[in-house]
Amino acid sequence: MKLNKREIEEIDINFNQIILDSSFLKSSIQYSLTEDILNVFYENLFQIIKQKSKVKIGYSFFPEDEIEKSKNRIIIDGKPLSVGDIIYRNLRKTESIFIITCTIGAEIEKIIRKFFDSGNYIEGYTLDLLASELVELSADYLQDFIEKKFSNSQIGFSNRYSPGYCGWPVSDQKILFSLLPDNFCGIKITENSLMLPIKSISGILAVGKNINKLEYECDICDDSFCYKKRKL
Amino acid sequence: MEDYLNKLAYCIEKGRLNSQSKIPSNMLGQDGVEELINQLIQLNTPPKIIIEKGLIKGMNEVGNKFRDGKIFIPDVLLSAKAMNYAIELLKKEFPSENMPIKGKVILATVEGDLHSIGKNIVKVILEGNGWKVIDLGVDVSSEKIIVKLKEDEIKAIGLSALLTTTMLNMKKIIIDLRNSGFNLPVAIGGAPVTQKFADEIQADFYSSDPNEFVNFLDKLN
Repeated sequence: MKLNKREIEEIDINFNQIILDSSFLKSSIQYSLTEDILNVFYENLFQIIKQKSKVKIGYSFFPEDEIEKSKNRIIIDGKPLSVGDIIYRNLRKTESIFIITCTIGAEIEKIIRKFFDSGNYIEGYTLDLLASELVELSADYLQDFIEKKFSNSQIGFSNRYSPGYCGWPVSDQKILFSLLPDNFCGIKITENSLMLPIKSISGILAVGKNINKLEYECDICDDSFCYKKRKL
Repeated sequence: MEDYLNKLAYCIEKGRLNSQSKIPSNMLGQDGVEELINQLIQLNTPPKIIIEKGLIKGMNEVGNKFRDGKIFIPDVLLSAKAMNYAIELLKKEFPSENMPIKGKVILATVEGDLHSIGKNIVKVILEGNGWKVIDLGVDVSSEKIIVKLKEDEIKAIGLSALLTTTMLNMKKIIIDLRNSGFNLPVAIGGAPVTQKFADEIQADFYSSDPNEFVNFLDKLN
């Protein structure tokens, strides 16, 4: 598909499109739970997340004539995103940008709270891990969906970058969402730049002839608190 | 009796509630907290001894192993659940005995932030170590904290935030508390929080380890 005009899309995704089998989610959270705990709680929690999550993905594409770049900033439709030097280094050759969002909905968050309130801490904790992993996998799915839909031999796609990571202030979330229609994917932004539902992801993907995906993106960043570093 | 107390401490450490529990897998069918407490009661063991030499001994082991990186948050949550379970059993058996409470602590996720998982983990660990937690929830303003401070005898406050934007509200809460004449210790925590930030906003305590918060609180008594 050609990438020369603005395009926007929101899609409801079936859980089974993202999670291929029940062990898939299990293997992705194994880094933080012992096998004992996983084996006892996993199947029940997997059914909960399968039935109660409502995955929604969306993107808005901004073509080359709506993108400007200046030092450490990507300006989309006149609105500056202060992505910082770490991300800018990898995006400075971008020609166009996808703003991406995805969510798994608000229901899971309520169930996590109920687990904690009723003293079922490990269930609440594990479900929270599963929900975080599911939203990450949804973002992976979205990224893959965009790349397949728009790929051609002339262009490459970057890794996805989000406000709050790699030195990009989370407060830019508001600017990012001001470039999207209200309630896009059912996500709202609070005064403090928090996305609701909490289990949501936003970010940008850069596109261009000289844009490539980095194999080890965490090598470019020194944020020791980042959850991605904990997984490595 | 000593043997039962040691086994009880071990079951607290491993989060084994009773003989039906599936965790840990290498103890299937063996006694858990429930059976061991019943056996100790039959031996006329005073609740104070059960708590000190069984429950607290087990939780101390959990704290030490967590500090040393030998166990992780999920293991601590299982232990804390077993501890709370044990306390409830003792309360039923000895309704006239006052279960020891070290004091009351307010926990809150600060105004503007709706993340609760970190605060909830700290709550479970504090309760498992004998502290009564007044959980004010998420998106909590200084006004709400001050109302609670006027109503109740509180030993300390723990504030949580997950975002760099909302952690700035910790500073406002500390200033508001001091301006209202409340000088009790304020501890802060959360993914973006650092010791440097804690120093800047004059928080009394910071740690990424909830058990260190327990140690800090225990020293207040």
